[in-house]
Amino acid sequence: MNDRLRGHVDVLLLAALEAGPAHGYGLAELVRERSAGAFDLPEGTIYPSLYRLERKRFVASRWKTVEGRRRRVYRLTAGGTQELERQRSEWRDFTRAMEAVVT
Amino acid sequence: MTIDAYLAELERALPRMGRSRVLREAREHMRDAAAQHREDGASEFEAETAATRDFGPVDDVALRLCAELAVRQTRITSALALGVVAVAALVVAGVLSFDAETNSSAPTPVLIATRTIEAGTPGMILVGREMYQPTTLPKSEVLEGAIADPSFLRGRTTAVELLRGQQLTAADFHP
Repeated sequence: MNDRLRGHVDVLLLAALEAGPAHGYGLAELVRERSAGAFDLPEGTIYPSLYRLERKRFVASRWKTVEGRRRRVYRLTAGGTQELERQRSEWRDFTRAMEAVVT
Repeated sequence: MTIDAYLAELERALPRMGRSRVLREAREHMRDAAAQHREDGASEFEAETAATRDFGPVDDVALRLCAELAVRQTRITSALALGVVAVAALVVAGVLSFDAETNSSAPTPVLIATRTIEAGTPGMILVGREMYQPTTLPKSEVLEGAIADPSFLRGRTTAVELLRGQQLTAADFHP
């Protein structure tokens, strides 16, 4: 399952950020919970994805103090919202076609 | 493995540039995870072991981080190079405008190589590895057959070696 996930981490993170700003650990938890534990990524691998999304300006981040701890908090940009919509519709087309053929 | 031991290994595996932020985020992340495990009844040692295990094998995480940090570094370097090109272009455009050739300074979209590209490189590799960058140049600076649309690269292969900063033109590609 995790091998198949590799190419999709970016879109999972964009979707998780749609619920609101979050730090890396929070995003890892959100993805695990939403997938009912099926997507159990090595948590460290979400950071290269976050940095890539930030480089492409789909997310923005800054240090924030939460309960006395410094945390890097990520949020979706307007461009990121658009990208999520684009990837979402691509994904729907893909799954629809797969289901039609495979099931 | 303790969190400190994990971070020490990660630090060794990462390039200096951009490393401190990554290490700080990783530390906060694993502290959060360990706190959760302690809350669930784990001992201090068990909690840290679980947190580092869940973060993933150091080699695997470091490899991906290195790839992304390297792209950033390339970006900064090529942005500087393009900056120099842009300033030079502005100077040229300024000089040309003295000749009252108003049209020749009109900004025209082009694609510029961001690194050396070997002859025989498929266009899709150029696209996938972001080996070029779109920019604009004064019309008078644009070479004949300069490519503005990356979709031109699809299905084509470079016919000659391209150097960083060079404009991509149709003549540089096999049809």
